[in-house]
Amino acid sequence: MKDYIKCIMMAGVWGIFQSIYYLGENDAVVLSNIILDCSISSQGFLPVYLIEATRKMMPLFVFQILFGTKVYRNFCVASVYYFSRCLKRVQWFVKEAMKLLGLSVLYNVLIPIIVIGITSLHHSIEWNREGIILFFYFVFIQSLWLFFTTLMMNLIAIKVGSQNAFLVMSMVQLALITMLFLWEKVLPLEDSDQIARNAFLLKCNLISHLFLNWHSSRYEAVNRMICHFEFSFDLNLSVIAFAVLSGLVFAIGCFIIKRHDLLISNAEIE
Amino acid sequence: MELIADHISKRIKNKLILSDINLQLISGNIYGFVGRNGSGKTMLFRALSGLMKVDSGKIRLDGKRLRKDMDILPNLGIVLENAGLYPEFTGFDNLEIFAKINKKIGKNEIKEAIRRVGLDPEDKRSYRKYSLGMKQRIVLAQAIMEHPDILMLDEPTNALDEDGVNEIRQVILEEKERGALILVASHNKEDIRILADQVFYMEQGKLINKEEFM
Repeated sequence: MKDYIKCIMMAGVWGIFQSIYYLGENDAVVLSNIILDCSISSQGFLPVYLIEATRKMMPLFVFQILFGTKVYRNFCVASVYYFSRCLKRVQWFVKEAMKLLGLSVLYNVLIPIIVIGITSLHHSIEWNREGIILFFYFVFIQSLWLFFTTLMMNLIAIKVGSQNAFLVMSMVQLALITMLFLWEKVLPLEDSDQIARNAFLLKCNLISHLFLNWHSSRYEAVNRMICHFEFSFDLNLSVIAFAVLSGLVFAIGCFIIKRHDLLISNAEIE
Repeated sequence: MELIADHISKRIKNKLILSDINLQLISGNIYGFVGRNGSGKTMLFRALSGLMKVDSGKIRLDGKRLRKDMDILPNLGIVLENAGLYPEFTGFDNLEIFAKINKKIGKNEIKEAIRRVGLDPEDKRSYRKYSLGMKQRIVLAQAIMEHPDILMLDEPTNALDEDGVNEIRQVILEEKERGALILVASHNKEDIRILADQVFYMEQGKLINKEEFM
C-alpha cells in the first residue's frame, strides 16, 4: 500500500508540474497536445533539444529511484527470515514483478490524467480521438520502459548492490541519450546515402523509442501529429520491442531469483 | 521426519566451505554442531535449509530433494548469527510481517511466542532500540512462532545472561518434546552438553571426530 501511495503522490507532483505549462493558454487545450507534451519528444539531435528531452525524462528517473530497490530490499535486512518462509521463490518473484508492472502503469496513467484534471479547472479540454490513441501508446511505451528498466535495476542490485545498480542503469541511460548526438552529424538522416542504415541504427538505440514524435502511426490523423521525420518508426514496433525486453528481463529475473544463494544476511551492508 | 545430507560440498570463490558432509537427522532429536569461527557451521545451516544451494551432493527431506522438489525446507524455523530483523518495527510487528507470508498463525500465536522467550508482546519499542539480549530473544520467537517441524539455531544463547540462557534452553527442550528436529550450533559447551543428543564437530567445512577436534 505504501508503494501505491508513493506512486500516486509522485505522479501527482509531476502532473501538477506539467500542468503549469497550460496556465498561460487562452484557448481550449487539445487532448493530443497534452499527451504529446507529457511524452518525451525532440525536434532533432542538437544538444539543446536532447537536453530538453532529458529533462522530460525526469519523471522516469524518479520512478526508477523510488522503485529500483522494491524487489531488492527483500534481500537486505531480515532476508534470511523472509526467504526461509518463501516456499516458492519464483512465484514470489512473479508477484513482485507484477506489482512493479502495476505501479509503472499506474504512474503513467496518472500523470496525464492529473494534467487533464488540473487544466480542465481553468480551460476547456478538446477531446479528440487521436489524443485517446496517443494516450494508450504513451502508457504502453512508457510503462513497459519503466517496468523493464526498474526490474533490471532490482536484479542488478541483488547481484552487486543498490549503489552499483543505480550507477549502471543511470550511466546506460545517459549514454544512450548522449549517443543520440551521433545522428546529428556522424549518422545523418538527411542528405546522406546511408539514411536507411542510419535509421536502422537509430532504432537499435532503445531510448529513441521513447520519443513519441519520432514515430509514425497507421492512423492517419495520429500520424500527421507525430510523424515529422522521414526516419520515423511505427508505434507498434516500439510497444513490441519494449514488451519483448520486459519479457526477457522478467525471465532472467526468474532464473536469478531461483538460483540466488542467500550467503549474507543483509545484502546492503555486507 | 528424516533430513539427509548426502556428500554435500560447496565452494565459494575457490574456497571449500563445505566438504563432503554426510548427515542423517531424525525428528525428536537435538543435534549439536561445534566448531571454531569460520568452521562452516552457519554455511551448513544455510545449505541444509535451502537458503544456499550446494555444488555437489543431495539434501533430502523424507525423500524429497531440496532445491529440486522444494526451494526451501517446509515448516522451518531458523536463527542465524548476526541476522537481524527490520529495525523500524516493533518485535510484534516484525513477527507479524513474517507470519503473513504463509498465513499459518494469527496474532495470538505471535504473542504467545514472544512471551515464551521472555519478552512483552505489547512493547512499543522498535527492534533497533532492543538490547542485544532482547534481539536474540525476538529472533528466536520468530523461529518458533509457527511451530516448525525443523529448527536451526545458530548460537541461540548469544548475548543472554544466565537466566536468559536457562530460559532459552528450556524453550528448545520444549520444542524437542513437541517432536521438532533441532540443530543447534554453539560455542557454549554447556549448551551442547545439556541440549544435544548427538554432537558433530566441524573444522574447515568438514565434519571431524571429537578426538581430531580436541
